[in-house]
Amino acid sequence: MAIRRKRKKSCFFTENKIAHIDYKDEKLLRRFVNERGKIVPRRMSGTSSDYQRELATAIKRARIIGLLPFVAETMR
Amino acid sequence: MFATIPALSVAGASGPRTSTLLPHRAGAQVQREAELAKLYETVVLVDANQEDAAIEASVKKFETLIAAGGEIVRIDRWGKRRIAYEIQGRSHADYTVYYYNVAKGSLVAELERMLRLDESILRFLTVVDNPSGLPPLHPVDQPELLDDPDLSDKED
Repeated sequence: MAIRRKRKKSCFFTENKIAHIDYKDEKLLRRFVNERGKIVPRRMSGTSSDYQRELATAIKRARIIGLLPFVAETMR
Repeated sequence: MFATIPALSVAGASGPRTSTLLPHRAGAQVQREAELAKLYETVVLVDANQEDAAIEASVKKFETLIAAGGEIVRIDRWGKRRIAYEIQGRSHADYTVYYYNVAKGSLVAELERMLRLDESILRFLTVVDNPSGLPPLHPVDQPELLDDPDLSDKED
């Protein structure tokens, strides 16, 4: 039986004490979308639920003003 | 049926009482508006495929419009950037972020109406998105966050 090693994931925002996620901070947000431009799920990123919600809003806003793609073949 | 009429006259009798309350309420309204002045931010994408003078004129135009009805806190000019996807056939836009305090929303409505009428505006977004009530010092560049360990370990 394969033993699954669990790596403890931690919330990036909690660790860095980020009070508020800015939708204009493209470089930060890009860490939380995959190469297709999709929002990375919590189970991958370890983001706590409060922050994940805020993050999702921020990413959606960033998409509206064209900082992030809605869909992408590959992220540049 | 007639029983309701005395009730109505009672309501009518309370009329003067409400009118004496009015000055207080009006004062409260003024006070509330002052307290409720919110930091709005509007991101505007101007078509970058035109002359610089035209872009600057457009930025200035909306600056004066905001200043007429609110208090401008800061304006960030990001300049020309590539857009992540084409908007109205354009791949580049000139970004400007306006931070301003307004107590009433009519200025925002008017600003957005003007933005919509202007054909060189590719897109805009207005939000009240700041718990501190202050604009971020450096909204685009927060380099200290960039060197942190990334999310490459994506095992479940």
